[in-house]
Amino acid sequence: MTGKLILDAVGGISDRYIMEFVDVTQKKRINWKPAALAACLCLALTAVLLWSNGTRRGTTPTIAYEDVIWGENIEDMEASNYGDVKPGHICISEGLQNAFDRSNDARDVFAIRVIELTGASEEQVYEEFIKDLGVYEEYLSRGMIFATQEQVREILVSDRFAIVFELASKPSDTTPVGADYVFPSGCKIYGNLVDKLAEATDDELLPVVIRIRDNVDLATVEELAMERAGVSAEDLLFYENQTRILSDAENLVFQRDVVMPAYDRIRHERVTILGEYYQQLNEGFLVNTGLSDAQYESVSTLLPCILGIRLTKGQIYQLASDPQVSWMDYYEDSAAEDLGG
Amino acid sequence: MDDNAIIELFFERSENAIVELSAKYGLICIRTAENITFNKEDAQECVNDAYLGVWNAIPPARPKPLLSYVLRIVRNVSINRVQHNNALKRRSGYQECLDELEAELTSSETPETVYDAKLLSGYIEEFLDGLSRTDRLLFVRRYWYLDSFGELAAATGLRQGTVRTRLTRLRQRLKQHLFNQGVHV
Repeated sequence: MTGKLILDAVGGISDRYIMEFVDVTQKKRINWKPAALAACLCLALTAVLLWSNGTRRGTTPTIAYEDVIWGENIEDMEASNYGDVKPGHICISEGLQNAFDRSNDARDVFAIRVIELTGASEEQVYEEFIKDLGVYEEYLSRGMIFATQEQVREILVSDRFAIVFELASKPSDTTPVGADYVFPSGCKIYGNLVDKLAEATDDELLPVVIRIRDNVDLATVEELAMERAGVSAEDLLFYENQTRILSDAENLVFQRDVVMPAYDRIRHERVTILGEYYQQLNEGFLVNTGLSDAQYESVSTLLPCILGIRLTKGQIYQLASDPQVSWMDYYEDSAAEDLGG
Repeated sequence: MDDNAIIELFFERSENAIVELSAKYGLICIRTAENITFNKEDAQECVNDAYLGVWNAIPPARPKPLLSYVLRIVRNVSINRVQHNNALKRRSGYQECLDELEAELTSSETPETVYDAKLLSGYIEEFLDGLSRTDRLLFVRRYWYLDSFGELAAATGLRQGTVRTRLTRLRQRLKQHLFNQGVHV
């Protein structure tokens, strides 16, 4: 056997080994003597601090905004088409991934906007997902968490939610936004809109985002999409097993000819089913609430959501008592502002 | 731009596909090629050839992950270039690694056997799975990426001498592992 054959065989190892070490950051060698001295000093200092101030356990953690990585331009924060994020999955936006890629320090903390796509309320997301993450968060006030890359990689989500992580933009001011207001109907008006309502005249039209409640069962949608696509759960299991058995070359062909087309068909059906459902829901909402003639930016086909609808204060308060409305917020078209619009 | 979007550009036969691929993975491709060829100009040419290879392969291929697919092509093209250069007696990282493996793992006493490279790859993967992360890093970065000892020392925080020693032990362990699988080296 020749060394060349072995080197060729190493060349044929699985992608997972290649990807595992594709980016090895340079480590500095530790000089243990000063490190040990520093550790001793730290221990002594900590002991003195604990002795003089009592235990610090139980204090609320805070984060310095200037030490956090924020989205700097519109592309960083641009929301892509997240319609096909499945429950139980977390999608990292391109902007956030790029920020991860640009980072050279594993200790970098990123400001991450959390978007939930199944329509669960923020309180549910907070109670069942955010609260136990073990990262600093301002989810209920700003919709954000703060985490390192490693922390993000370790985050798992239950089948209850479909999550998108985006790189968040730094709030224009670092003081807390106006308090959110929750109506007896359960509809929440976000602080930003509360502030605008306080300043607006009675006949002024405010651009608003309306999130409508829906009772879509994504598991049923998935089943229907698979049925329409002609793909069974057994088929998916079979695909998964095949990818373990096949060689890399065979796997590429199998992925291209069998797996990808099957998933494409399911995705197409899922988007069609949800699109039809949300379109019907959103348009039905506009008709039922007598807002068909109102000016609006867009009616989403990916979410139960109407964007940029222009309403008076009276109309907003009326909608807030409608149990169909989950929440409302002031609509800021950041893309238009960026283009001078 | 994410990998899927780049692949879509290849499917559309848009020349931006190469531009985006180069923007995203150009540096690591160049570095991998340089590790093998020991020559900047050769490395650049190899990477360009690899891009052409990717252009010809996608479509129909839809590789996932894209990076390892491109790196494999870069590696293969670069090794071919080195083999061509060897005829001209030019030294390369590939030749260095080859010498190491020849010295440690091959024996003139055993009859020459034709082994299936795929089978061997499987045995090497088993061997890698049994290693600590640092040892696996050393092995993969040395014999797949063909990193120098200096680069490995920088990546692991070990001294160069320690890196050499650990790699020697790893080659001996690989030899034993292959022997246990019935592969006589």
